[in-house]
Amino acid sequence: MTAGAWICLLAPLAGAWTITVMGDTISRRAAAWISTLSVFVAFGGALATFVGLLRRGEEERAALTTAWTWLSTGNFEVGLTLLVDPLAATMMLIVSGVGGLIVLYSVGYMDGDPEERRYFAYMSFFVFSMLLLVQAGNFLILLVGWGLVGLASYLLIGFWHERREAVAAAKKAFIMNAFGDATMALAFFVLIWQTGTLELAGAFEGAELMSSTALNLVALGLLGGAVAKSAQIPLHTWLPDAMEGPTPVSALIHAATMVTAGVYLIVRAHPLFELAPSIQDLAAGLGAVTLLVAGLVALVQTDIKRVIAYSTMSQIGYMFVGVGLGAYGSGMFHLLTHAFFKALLFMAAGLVIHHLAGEQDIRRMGGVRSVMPRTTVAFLVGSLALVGIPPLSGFFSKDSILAAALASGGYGQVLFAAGLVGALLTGVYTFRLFFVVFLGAPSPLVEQHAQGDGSGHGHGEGPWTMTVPVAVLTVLAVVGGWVQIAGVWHPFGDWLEVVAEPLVEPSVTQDYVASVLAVGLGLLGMGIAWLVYAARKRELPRTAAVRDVLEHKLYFDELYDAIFYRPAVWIAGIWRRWIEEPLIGGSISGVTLGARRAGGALGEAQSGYLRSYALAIAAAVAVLVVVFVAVQ
Amino acid sequence: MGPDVTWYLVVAALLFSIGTLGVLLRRSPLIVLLSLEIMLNSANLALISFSRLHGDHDGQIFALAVMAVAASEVVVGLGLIVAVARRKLVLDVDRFRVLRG
Amino acid sequence: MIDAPKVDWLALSPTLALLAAAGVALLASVIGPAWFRRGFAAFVTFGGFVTAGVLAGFLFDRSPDAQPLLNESMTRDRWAALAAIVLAGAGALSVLVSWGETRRDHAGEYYALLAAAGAGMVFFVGASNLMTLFLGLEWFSLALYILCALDTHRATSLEAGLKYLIVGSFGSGILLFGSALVYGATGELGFAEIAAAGVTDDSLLLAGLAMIVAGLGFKASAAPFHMWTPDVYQGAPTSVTAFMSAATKVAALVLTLRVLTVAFPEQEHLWTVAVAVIAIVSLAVGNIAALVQRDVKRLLAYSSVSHAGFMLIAVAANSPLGGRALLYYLIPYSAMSIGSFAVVAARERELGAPVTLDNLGGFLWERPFLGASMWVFLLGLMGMPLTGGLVGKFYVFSAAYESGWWWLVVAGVIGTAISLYYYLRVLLAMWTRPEPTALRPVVAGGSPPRDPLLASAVFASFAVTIGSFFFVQPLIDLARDAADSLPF
Repeated sequence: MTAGAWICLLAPLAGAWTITVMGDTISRRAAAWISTLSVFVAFGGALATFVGLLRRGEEERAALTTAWTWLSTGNFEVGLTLLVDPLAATMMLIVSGVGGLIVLYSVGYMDGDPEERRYFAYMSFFVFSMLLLVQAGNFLILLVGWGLVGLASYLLIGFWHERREAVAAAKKAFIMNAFGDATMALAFFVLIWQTGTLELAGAFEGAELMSSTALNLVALGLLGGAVAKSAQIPLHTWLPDAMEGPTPVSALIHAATMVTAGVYLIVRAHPLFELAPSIQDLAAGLGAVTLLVAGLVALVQTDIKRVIAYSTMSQIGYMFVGVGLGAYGSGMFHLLTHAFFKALLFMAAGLVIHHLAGEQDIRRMGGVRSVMPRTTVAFLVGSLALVGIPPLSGFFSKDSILAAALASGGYGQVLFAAGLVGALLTGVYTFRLFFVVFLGAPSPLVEQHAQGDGSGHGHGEGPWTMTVPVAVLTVLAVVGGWVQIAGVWHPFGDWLEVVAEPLVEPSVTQDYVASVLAVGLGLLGMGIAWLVYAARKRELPRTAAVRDVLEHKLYFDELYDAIFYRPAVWIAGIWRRWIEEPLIGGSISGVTLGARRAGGALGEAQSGYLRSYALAIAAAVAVLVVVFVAVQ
Repeated sequence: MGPDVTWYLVVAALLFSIGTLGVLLRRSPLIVLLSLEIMLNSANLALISFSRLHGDHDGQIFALAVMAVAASEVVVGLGLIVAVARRKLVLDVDRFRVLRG
Repeated sequence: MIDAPKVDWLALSPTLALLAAAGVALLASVIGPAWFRRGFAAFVTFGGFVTAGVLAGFLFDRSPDAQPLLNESMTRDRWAALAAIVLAGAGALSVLVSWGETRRDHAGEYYALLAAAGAGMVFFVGASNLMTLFLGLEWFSLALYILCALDTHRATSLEAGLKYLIVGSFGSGILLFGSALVYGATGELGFAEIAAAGVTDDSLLLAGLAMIVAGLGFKASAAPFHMWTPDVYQGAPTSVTAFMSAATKVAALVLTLRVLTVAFPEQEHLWTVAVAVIAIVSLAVGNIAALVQRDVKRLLAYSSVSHAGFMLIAVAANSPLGGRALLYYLIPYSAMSIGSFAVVAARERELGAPVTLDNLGGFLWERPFLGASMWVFLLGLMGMPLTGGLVGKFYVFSAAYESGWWWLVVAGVIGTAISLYYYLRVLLAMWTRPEPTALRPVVAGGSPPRDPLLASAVFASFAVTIGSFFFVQPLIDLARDAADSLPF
C-alpha cells in the first residue's frame, strides 16, 4: 500500500527528470507520451493505495511511511515522510486521475508547439509537486510541496514567455502565492517554537496546550496560505490573469487541483482550526464573500476562460464555506465533483479555442453548436453540473454544503443565504456563457473556421487525445456525485470521517430545504440567462455604474495598485532619494570599493616572491610562540 | 659531566634560525635547500639531546627517520632544480614570480 | 625467534592497498611497454583507491572503540577510518579527472605518485604520535611536490612545484622543531602520553604547540600560512589541484583536531583562541583576495583558503558537535572542490589555455551538463539550499555557537556574504553569452573532446553535493560515530 504511494509520488518526478535529461535526443511527441505515461502510472499507484486502504479496517486507515530521516536534532525530527490516509488517497486519486486525463488532452492541444518538451516536463513536475503536497506526512514536506506547486504554476502560466501578459500574470501569481507561503512558513515557525515538532499528529497534540493567541496566529498563517493558493478574497486577483497559460494548465492547476489545495490544507490541519474557531469562521466568511463577488464579476467577463476562472473562485468559495463550518466531508466532496466538471468545462472550452485557432473572446463566438455538436453536449453537461441540476454531480456536493450551512446556527444561515444568491448567479453566468458561445447563429469567425483554414485546425472537434479525456470527464461529471446522496447513501463522508470528524450534521429536512431552494434558484438563473442571452426577450437593466464596477472586477486590482503598489513605489522613491543614495548607497559603494582595494592590496602582498611567503609563515609562528608563552 | 641540555638546545635554536634566515635571504635554490636541511637537522639535534636527557630512545629513532625524510626531500628538490635548469631558466628564486596576485 | 610486535594488518590495510597500487603502477611504468603504462597505471591506481575506500569502510564498521597500533604510533578508530573513506573517494575521483590529460610524458609515474600521496594521507590521519605525524606529512607532501611540477613543459608548473617544495619544507621544518620541543618538555612522542605527562605551562611545550599549529595550518592552507596556495593551485596540473584541494585539506584538518584534542587538552584555552584567530584571518584574507581574481583556478584557491577558515571554526569549537560538523562538512566540500576543478580542467583542455572569467562566457549553454554542475558546486560553496554546503555551514555555525564563539559565527556569516560576490561573478560569467562580435578564444584541436570519465567524476561530485543535503542524517550519524573516537 505504501509502495503504491511511493510509486504514485515518484513516477511523475521520474517522467519530468527523463524529459529534462533526454533533452532533444527524444522527439517532442515522445516527451508528451512519457509525461502522460508517468502520470497514469501515478494514477495506478494511487489506485493501489486506495484499494489497500479499503482492505483495512476503518480505524487502521492511516499509515506513515518514512523514506529517510532528513534531520534529527534532539527531539526535533523531520524526514521525507508520507502520510497515507483516506484524505490523502482521495486527493491522490483526483490529482493523478484528472491530471492524467488533462496531460493526455495536452498531447493533442500542445501538438506543434516548439517547446513541447519543456511544457511536458513542467506538467509532470507539477503533478509530482501536487502529490508531494497532498501526501505530506509532516508540515515541512507540506510546505515544500506547497512551494513547488507555486513554482510549477509560475512556470506554466508564463509558459508562452514571449507574451508580455503571460509573464506579468506569472509574476503576479508568484508574488501573491509567495505571500501565502510566507504566512504559512511563519505559522510553522510558531508551531515549532510552541510544540517543538512538525509532525502532524505531534503538532496537533501539542497545539492543545498552546495559548489562544499562538493558536490564532498559527491558524491565521495557515489560512493566509490557503487563501492565496485558492484565490480567495483578498488574495484572489492572480487567478483570472493566470488564464494566460495554456488551457490544459488552467484546467489542471487553476481549476481541478492546485487551487483547491487551500481546502485540502484546512481539512488536513482541521484540529488547529478547530482550536481557533474564530479563524475557522473567518475562512467560511471569506469563502462566502468570494463566491458572491466572483459570481457577480463572472456576469460581465467576455473572455471564455476568465468566466470559468471566476466560477472556479466562486466554487472554491463554496468549499471554504463548507470546511470553514466544519463540514469537511461536504467540502471535500465538492472539491471532487468540481475537479470533474470544472476540468471538463475548461477542456471543452479548450476544444472551442483550439478549433477557433486561439480566439477566447465570447463576443466573437456564437453558434458553435452547429460545428461542434459533441463539444456542445460536453459543455452543457459541465454547465448543468456546475449549476447543480440533479442528478448531475454538482447538485449533490453543493447542496450538502448549503445544508451544512443551514444547520450551523445564525452565522451559518447568513452564509446559507449568500450561497443561495451564489447559486442564482451561477445559473446566470454559466448559461450566459453557454448560450452566447454555443447557441444562436454561427458568428463570422465560427463560419470561417468551420470550413477549415488548411492549417489542420478547424476540422472536426479535435484529435482523439483531446476528445477522449473530455468524454471521460463528461461521464464523471454526470455520475461523480453519486457516491454521496444526502440522507440516503454517504460512503464518501464515512470514508473521510476517520480523518476529519465533521462538526455539523444537517438533518434530512435541512438537506431537502437546501436542495429545493438551490435547484430552484439555479433554474431561475438559467431562465434569466435564457431570456436575456438566448431568446433575447429581456434586456438586462443597463446601469452603467454597476456594469463599470463589475467590469473592473470590483476594482480590486485598482485598489491594490492604490494601497500597496503606489505607496510602495512612492516610499521607495523617497527612500532612494533621501536615504539610500546619500547614506547607504554611498557607504555600500564605499564598502565595495574598500573591499576591492583590500583585495588588490592582498594581491600585492602576494608578490610571487618565495621569501615573502616564508616570511609570513615565520612571522606568524613567532607571534604565536610569543603569545602562547606570554599568556600561558 | 658534559654541558647542560640548555646548551644543546641553544645550538639547535641557533641552527634553526640560521636555516630560517637562509630560506628568507638567499636567492639560489640550492642554498635554500641547504638551509632547509639545516632547519631539519637543528630539530634532529634537539631531538637527540632531549632523548639523552629523558633517557629513552624515541627521539633518536625520530631523528633517524627525519634524516631519511630529509634525504628524500633533497632528492626531490635537486630533481626539480635540474628540471628547471634543463628548461634554461635562471636559478634564482626571485625570478619565480609568474604566479602571483 | 624475535619478539615482533603484533601488527593489526586490517587497520593498516587501506594504506597498504594504496602503497601496493603505487608500487605496481610505478613498476609497470618502468618496465611496461609505452602504450601499456598509462592505462594500466590509471586502472591500478583507481582500483587502489576504491579498495582502500572499501577497506576503510570495513575498518569503520569494525572499530567502534579506538585501539592503539604498532607500539602506539598509530590509532585504529572511526575518526581515521571515515577520513580515509573521504580521502579514497577524493583520490578515485581525481584519477577519473586525470585520465583526459593526455600530453603528460610521465603518465605512469603520475598515477603512482597519486596513489602514494593517497597512501601517505591515509597513514597520516591515523597517526597518533609526533613521529608518525611528521612521517605521514612528509610522505604525502613529497609526492605532491613532484605531482605539482610534473608538467615540466610548463614553466608555471615547475614554479609551482619549487615554491611548494620550499615553502612546504619550511613549514615541515617548523612543525618538526615544534615536535622536538614538545618532546623535550614532556619526554613523550605519543599524543595521549603527551597529555598524560601532565606538563601544563612549560614554555618549551607552548612554543612547540605554537609551531605544530602553524605547521598543520600550513597544510590546511589557513591564513597567514596560506600564501603558497594560490600560486601552487594555479600552477599545478588541474587534476592535481583537484586532488590537493580536497584531500590535503581533509587530512590536515582531521589530524589537526586529533592532535589538539588528544595531546593538548590542557592548553585548550590557548589553541582554541589561536585557531579561532587563524580562522578569522583565513576567512578575511581568502574572501577578500578572491574578489579581484580573474583566473578561475586562483579564485577557487582563495575560496579554498576561506573554507579552511570555515572548517577551523569547527576545530575551534573543540566539542563533539564541532568534530561532527568538521567531518560532515569535509564530505560535500571535497566533492564540490574536486568537481569544480574538474570542470575547470575540462574547459582548460577545450581551450588549451588557462580558464579565466573572460573565456568562461556562455559555458553553461555550450556544455550544459558541466556548466550546470559547476553552478551547483559554486552554489554549494556559497552554502545555498539543496546542497550539502548549506548543512555544513549550518552545523559549523551551531557548533561554534554552542561553544560560545558567537563572534566566530558573525565572522563566518560576513565571510559568506562577501563570498557571494565572487562566486556570483563566476556564475554570471558562465551564464552570459559572449558578444558575437567579440573575439572568441580558438578552441584547441577542433570540437571539444568527449571525456566520459571526467564527466562521471563530475556527476559523482554532483551527486555527493546534492545527496549530502538530502541524506543529512545518515552522514551526520557517521560523522558522530567518528567524532566519538576523540576525547572531548
